[in-house]
Amino acid sequence: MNKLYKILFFLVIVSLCFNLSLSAAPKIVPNDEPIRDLKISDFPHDDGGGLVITWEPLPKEKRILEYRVFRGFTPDSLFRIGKIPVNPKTGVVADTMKYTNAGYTFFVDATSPAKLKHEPGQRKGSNAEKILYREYPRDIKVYAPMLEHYRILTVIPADKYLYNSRMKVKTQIDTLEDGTVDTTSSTYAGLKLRQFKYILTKLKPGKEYYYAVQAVNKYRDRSPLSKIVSATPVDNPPEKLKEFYSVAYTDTKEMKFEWSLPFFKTDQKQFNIYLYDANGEKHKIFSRATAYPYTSQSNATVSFEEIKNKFEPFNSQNMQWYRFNISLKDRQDMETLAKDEPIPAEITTTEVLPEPPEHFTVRDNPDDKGDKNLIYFGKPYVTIPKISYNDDFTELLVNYDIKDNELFKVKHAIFEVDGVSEKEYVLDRKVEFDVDPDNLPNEIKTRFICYDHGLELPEDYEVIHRFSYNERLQVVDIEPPKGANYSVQVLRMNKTGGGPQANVWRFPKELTYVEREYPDKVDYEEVVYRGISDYSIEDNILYTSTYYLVGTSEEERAYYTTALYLKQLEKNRKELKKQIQSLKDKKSQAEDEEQKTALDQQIMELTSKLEDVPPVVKEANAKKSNKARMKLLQKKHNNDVRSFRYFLRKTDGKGHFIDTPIYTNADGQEYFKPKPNWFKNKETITLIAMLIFGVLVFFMIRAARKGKNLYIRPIAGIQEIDNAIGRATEMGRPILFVPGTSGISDVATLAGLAILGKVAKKAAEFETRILVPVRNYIVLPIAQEIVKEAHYEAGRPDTFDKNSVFYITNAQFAFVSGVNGIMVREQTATNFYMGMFWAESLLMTETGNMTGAIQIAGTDAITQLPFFITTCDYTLIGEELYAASAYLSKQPMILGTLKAQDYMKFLIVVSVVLGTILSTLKLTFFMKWFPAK
Amino acid sequence: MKRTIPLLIVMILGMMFVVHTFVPHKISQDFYNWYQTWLKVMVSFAVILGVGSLLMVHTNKIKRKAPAWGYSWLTILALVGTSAAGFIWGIEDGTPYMWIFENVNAPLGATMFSLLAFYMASAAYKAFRARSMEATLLLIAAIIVMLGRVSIGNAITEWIPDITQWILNVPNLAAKRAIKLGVGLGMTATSLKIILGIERTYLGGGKQ
Repeated sequence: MNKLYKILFFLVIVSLCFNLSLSAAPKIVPNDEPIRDLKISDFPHDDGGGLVITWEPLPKEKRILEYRVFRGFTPDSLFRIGKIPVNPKTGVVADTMKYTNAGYTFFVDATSPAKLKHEPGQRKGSNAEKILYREYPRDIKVYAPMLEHYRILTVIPADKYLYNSRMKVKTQIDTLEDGTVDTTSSTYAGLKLRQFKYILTKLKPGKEYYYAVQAVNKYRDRSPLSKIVSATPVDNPPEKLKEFYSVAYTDTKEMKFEWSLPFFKTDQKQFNIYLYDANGEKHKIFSRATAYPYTSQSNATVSFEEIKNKFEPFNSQNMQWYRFNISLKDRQDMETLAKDEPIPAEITTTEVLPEPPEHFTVRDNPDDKGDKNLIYFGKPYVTIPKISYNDDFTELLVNYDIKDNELFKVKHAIFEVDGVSEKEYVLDRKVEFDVDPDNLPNEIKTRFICYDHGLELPEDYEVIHRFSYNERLQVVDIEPPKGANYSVQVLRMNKTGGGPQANVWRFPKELTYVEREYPDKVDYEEVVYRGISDYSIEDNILYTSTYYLVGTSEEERAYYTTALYLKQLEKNRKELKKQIQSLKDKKSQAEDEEQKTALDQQIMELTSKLEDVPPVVKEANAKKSNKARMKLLQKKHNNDVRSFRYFLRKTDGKGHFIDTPIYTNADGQEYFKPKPNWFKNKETITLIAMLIFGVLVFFMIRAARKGKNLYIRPIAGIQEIDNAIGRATEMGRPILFVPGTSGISDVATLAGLAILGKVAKKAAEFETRILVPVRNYIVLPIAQEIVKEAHYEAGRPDTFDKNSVFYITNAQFAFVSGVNGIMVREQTATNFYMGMFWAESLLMTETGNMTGAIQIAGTDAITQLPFFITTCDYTLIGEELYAASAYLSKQPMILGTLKAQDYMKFLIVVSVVLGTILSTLKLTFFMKWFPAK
Repeated sequence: MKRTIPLLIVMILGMMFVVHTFVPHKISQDFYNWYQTWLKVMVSFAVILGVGSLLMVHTNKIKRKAPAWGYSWLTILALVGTSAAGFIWGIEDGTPYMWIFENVNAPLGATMFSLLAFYMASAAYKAFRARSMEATLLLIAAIIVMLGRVSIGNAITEWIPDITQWILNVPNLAAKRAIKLGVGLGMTATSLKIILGIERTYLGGGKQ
């Protein structure tokens, strides 16, 4: 009867909760209307690869969770290309929603669904029936025929393309009108889909695409599909550049131009600057290719002489007559001028310009994998983000941040307020001054003391910040220092001259006036980008072009295009030779001198193509295997594309800029390529500590093996383990052992498992059941194996029950309720908690406390230690957890490590005390040996 | 052989990861990334072990008609039902799987978590009973810290928040750091023991 009541009570509670949750749930408005007002517009200023889809969002009562966007090149097959998630509680506040389908977007990769699947929930008879599909599948039969409807860009890991692609020659035979047979053969690189990183698509200009949108509500009900709308992307002229400045410097006889960069960067070819003469006629005086996909320069210097070369009547004396404008030209040669009306030049001299950044230096960035160059310049600087007073205005608190570099590494800073100096021995970013409340200061001076290994800082060098107390806002206003409107642009160019569009400086970073150091990222070229030329459904292979661009560092030829395969190379050479021979034959038969000269010209061109090969390519072509050849070419290529030269440009963004010369080091080196480093210098102290510890371990183990009696402090929690197991045996109740709730990668879990081995062995000897609930499924088999071995070692394999070590769940609190249930049902006599724990610790130990079990815990989780200490009988604190297995085993090897640990701790304590004393005596050298991070 | 090969794997990989800590070279970074990819694959397979263990324990309970075996049915049903919901309808928002998570798992977890407040009060009562000099000190410190964390502390005297901060920043932080230091050394020693093959318990059993 009692059981029946319990079940009934349980059912009543469950149904009550369910009813309450249903009644509390908001009313559902059926998702039975399609979204309205679906419109498609062309994406502005692009290359015809973008469309913008807009629609009116559904009311928030519909509880819409997401809007799904479908696209197709026919109206009867639309694929899901994206979604816009929405908060179902708040809905969308805006009047319209927008989805932009522009640029290269993800199409398919090896992780795409295997098969083509219809979108679920399409109502029969609706306009969506049988036309909506999920994502593009990785099935070549489905996606390959679609490739021709989009612009395709594939991203291929370089090693896959260069070393693992398959050469394929495709021959096309055409019969011409005159009956002759024309044979063309092309070579491709064949790759399986899994060899690609991914394939991207972009819309084709002038092609019609169809779009529809479907709303999905919180309950996964799909709205009827919207009207299917089509649009054709159009190639647009580039955008207007927002800012443009022209400044004429009469003393240096040059003009400086500066402009803002465009927002839409994908379709840009070059910047052109025009001069308008007194008659309003336009003359191009400057042109520069953009650095896309890298950031282009936003400024240019053109000498009067260069202008005169382009526009002969130019006379700098008549500068006030001239007007200037800039245009951006795209790849289809559409051009947009920045200003509706050309602007006059500001006429000035270089006296208005600031000094260029001094001490500009480039070197390899230390402690990295070889992907950064370190750039630094200028003397040290201090930024003061905040100044504040205490309540009675007797103390001034200054927060500061030191900006230094390798040449001037700041050791100490001296701050001066109202003639009172404070020397900061430890640069802890704050300094305090006692001030007179009746005469508040308004200036803080900072001087620096640098380490000796760099340059010597001038004695009179100081940074001054002015400030005043704002009575109204009750804050301290800090004036921007002189020169704060100037920033420093880092400009770089690699050995290939910035890519196929040679001689283009890239602009990777604009630094504020406070910065003194910049690690410039120089990535390894790990992928290649190719289109798709063909495919084979039978072989499940995609074919890409086989050209390989190798950087040559030659002035006249930055890149050289060569074949990917040796066989292809040989074939090309044979064809060239055949063509040359054929031309020579023609020449020998030709009678006309003019024809002979033309043929000679052709022969010369082909011979040059055959023989004029860069030395590195010649050397590579002599290799026996494709792999060896490509490795050599890649080495050269990587060297050229990753070697950069640098200069700095200090600018106010309005045509007032000044450059440093291109940096050359003392050895005359101009190009800098980051080198991969073999040792992290910052970790030196860690390595030294590790070596000392290793040596200590070695000697202690040796001492222990020789039989030296190593004293180890007794730990109550460990000594009581045997008694706790004995208690369970006497009471005839099981032991519970929780090996932490973390994974196997946590060292605390490993320490917990080591203790489990000892406890399980003892329990097996006493024939006491041991229960080991596990939260992590990787820990499970290890714990099972440990308990099994413990039973074998104790000579009681028969008492081992595999199900006594079991997995409960990965959910934190569900695991707790599972463990608590075991404690209550099984009335465990002894509970062990050994390992890493979080918030669940107290829930478990309090329950154990209530069931009257003796509890021993051990953890390195500082936040959980107080709970264990309060509720358990014994607690192993921090390191004691790691020492426990050594205590229990009493093996010399393990005891040796424990003793070494103690000596190491002693050394650390000595270091801490020594560091404290020295720092108090203002000797900070020792402290600085130990980096904070 | 059964133990030698795993030991060798642990030793070699352990040494490689020690080297990785000090070597920033591309080779070292690439190796680490490669290992991370493999780790993800291996870990996902281990789920089978957990689910297998759970099913085995509970089917045994049902077979043996162990006490409260009915709950084992409930566990298996919940496991199968939730997994099926995830496999059939997916795990995105609005699916039955997410409904179960939001309306069953999350409230139950929150319920367990909320119990912590009561347990904490009970633990605090045990800890703060002023039976000795140390416990009295603990009690006083606890009262100050608790008052300093609420506005009433500042209302009593503005010293209380300052003292609270001092207790947290100086004695409390010093003790924490001391424990962390010991933990760090303990971790290093344990890792060293494992890498050098001195500690082999994780392989099963205590044979050294």
